[in-house]
Amino acid sequence: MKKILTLMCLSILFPSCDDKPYSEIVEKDDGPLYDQAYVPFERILSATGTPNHWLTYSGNLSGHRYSRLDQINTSNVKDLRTKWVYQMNTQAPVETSPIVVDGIMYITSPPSTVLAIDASTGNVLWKYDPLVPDNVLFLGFPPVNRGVAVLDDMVYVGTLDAYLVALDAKSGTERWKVKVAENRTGHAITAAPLIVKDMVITGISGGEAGIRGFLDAYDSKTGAHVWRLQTVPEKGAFGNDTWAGDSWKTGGAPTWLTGSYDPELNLLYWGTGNPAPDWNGDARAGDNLYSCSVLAINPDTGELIWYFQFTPHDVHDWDSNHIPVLVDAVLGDQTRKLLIMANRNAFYYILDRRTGEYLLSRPYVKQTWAERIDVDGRPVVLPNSGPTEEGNLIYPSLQGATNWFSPSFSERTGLFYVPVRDMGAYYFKTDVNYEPGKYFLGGGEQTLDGDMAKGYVKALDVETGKEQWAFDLHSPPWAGVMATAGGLVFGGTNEGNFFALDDESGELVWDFQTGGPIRTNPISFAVDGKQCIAISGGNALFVFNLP
Amino acid sequence: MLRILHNSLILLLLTSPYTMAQNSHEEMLRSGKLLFQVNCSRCHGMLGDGGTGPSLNRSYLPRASTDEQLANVISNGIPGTGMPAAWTFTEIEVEKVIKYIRHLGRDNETVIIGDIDNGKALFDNSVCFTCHIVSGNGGSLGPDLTRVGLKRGQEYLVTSISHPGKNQPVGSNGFFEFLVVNVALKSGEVITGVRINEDTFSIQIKDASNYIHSFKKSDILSIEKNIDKSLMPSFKDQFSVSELNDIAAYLTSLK
Repeated sequence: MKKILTLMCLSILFPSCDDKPYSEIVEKDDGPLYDQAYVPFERILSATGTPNHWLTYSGNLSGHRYSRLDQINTSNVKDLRTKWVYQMNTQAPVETSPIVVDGIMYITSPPSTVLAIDASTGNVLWKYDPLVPDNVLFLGFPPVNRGVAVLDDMVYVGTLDAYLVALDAKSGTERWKVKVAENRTGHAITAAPLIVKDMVITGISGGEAGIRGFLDAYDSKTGAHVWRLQTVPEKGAFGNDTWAGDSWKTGGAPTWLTGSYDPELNLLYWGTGNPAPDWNGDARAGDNLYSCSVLAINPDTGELIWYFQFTPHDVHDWDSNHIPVLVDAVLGDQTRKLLIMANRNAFYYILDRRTGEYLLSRPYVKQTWAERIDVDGRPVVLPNSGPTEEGNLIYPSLQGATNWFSPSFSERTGLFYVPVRDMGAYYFKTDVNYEPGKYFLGGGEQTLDGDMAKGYVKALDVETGKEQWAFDLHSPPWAGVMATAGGLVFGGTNEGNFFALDDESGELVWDFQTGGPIRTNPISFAVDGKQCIAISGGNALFVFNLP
Repeated sequence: MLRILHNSLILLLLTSPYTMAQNSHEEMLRSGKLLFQVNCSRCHGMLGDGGTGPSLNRSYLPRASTDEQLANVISNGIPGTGMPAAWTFTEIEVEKVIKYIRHLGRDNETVIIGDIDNGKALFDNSVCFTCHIVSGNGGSLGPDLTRVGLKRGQEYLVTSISHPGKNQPVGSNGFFEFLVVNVALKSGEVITGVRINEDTFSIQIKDASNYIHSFKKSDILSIEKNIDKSLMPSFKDQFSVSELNDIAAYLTSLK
């Protein structure tokens, strides 16, 4: 009875998530309406209700990474088998999160190559290599790419050398290519772009190179620049006084992960990264806005509507480059439009996504840096919790209690699933000077890894952040999770295991050894009338379905 | 005039070839350390002991056994991996970083004390070969010692022989190597051995008879991890201090 009530409640709470009931796989659910692989924005808006496809990075614009497909469920998941495997010619980590449209899968291979693959057979349809130069700078991260975006008849990719490229969806031919920023100063693009209306939104990497972060919008048809929102305010602008002296000029706050969008509020949400230099904050006294924050932006103008800073004056490299997850839930006696986020700083947060109002937080794994979060959402930082010359042991490590890999919100259970890293580190502080195109760090860390660290997939209650269950992992993960209407939560491990858990109990129901570290997010789609699950392990992409 | 002469003398003393070389070496190391911490430590750890990148506090680096190869790896990166080209480094900066990395690799620079030949005789005539391979010969339960002198210093090796387990080795992935585990099965059986591999769902161990077991964690009640224990017995009562030094001196000569 409780479950029925929950489901009823949820169906009331998610009216904007498309009208269709939990899916039965329909081969031509929207086929007649559109040309093959043609994705007008209205298709992306209704992505949750057309689960045969995976049309945007997180599956829908709310950042849920949830599939309504239920053909694969807790009873039959044990019969999953590999449908096909695609091997990439790379030794760099594979972090691509595929897009699937009308039986065509679009993935990226490091550093920034785009491939279209027949989702039925695994055969390559086309390949686009942007010929990233050998001396490309990627300071602070591996030469990765996390995927593409699609709109109308085009596919969009950001490249490691900081270009944004539009490709013809059927042939991979270049339609336009624009330079987003200068790579020689450490700017790079690794995130999948996000489509909002007729714009391609892209973030930028380079927080370890002392870039000044920004978010950019481009016209999807022509590549014309529409707006830029600087994530570190210039002299005279609100927030610039949160940076001592000229430190804002090299302040970081990069935007290196994809955001989310609420069409009803017409607000774009995007996370920002660490202030630079990472571990020596002496020269940048102040809160360092808008680093380690989530920003709410008017996508038509690029105007900042509100911000919330999770970690003011961060000195641990706890970027807030997370997927903003948008849910509606009852808090107190009213239904509220929420933005929820399990932050790298080890606290789970609930914000009102209309206003940015802080509503609640709760630690979701061991942390030793904050006494508590105060009523305004500001951490009360413990003394002696910063980096030192001798090294200072603090939880979590600089990789955080979670990281860029995706959490999942299940509309079936109403739970929020988070891959969790339980690891401490000795934080060191060194002198630092800015030089363009060089590391701008001011320290480093020694992690307590190996047998001294562990990982989890945790299920959190959305309204309270309380842990419902935790599934132990051998080591702190680098893989995202995806919940499905089949009652499953898929996840991966550094040791190559791809697995499925029961979404209500957290019990293991299936696992498969892919043979290489899993460093990306699962997705689901349907082809040939069958639900498929895709994940990368090592340098290969695996697609599973039932016999 | 006297004052000038006096100062010149001090300058002369300070800049004697020996002092200059010392200063230069120290300065190169100091500067190399700073460059390393700023540019390399994020992946390789502040002390070169590894992180997302491999540990570098080893005398033998497979991709860079010579300084020339190491300079190439630093300057050009390793294509297709997470190792970027440090193209912003000047030649002298590369040299400084190399000096520091090589310094990290020498965990014991003290003079070797002992008779290498006697150490070899003692090693060959003891039971060491039962579990250790040297140059292709011996048992494979314990670590291969063929090039152990590249990695380990004499003091470390004396400790390893007299108090096995005290030096619990850590692999490049951060996990303990040769970790002794007691695996309690749901059937009631307890198997003790060294861990070879482990993931979220299974563990592989080698027991004292060098038999490899693979267990699914669903069949296991508990895994007891014995950090600082070893399957190797202590040899501190079988050899004198001088003999232990001899054996360790022999092992450090294996490069």
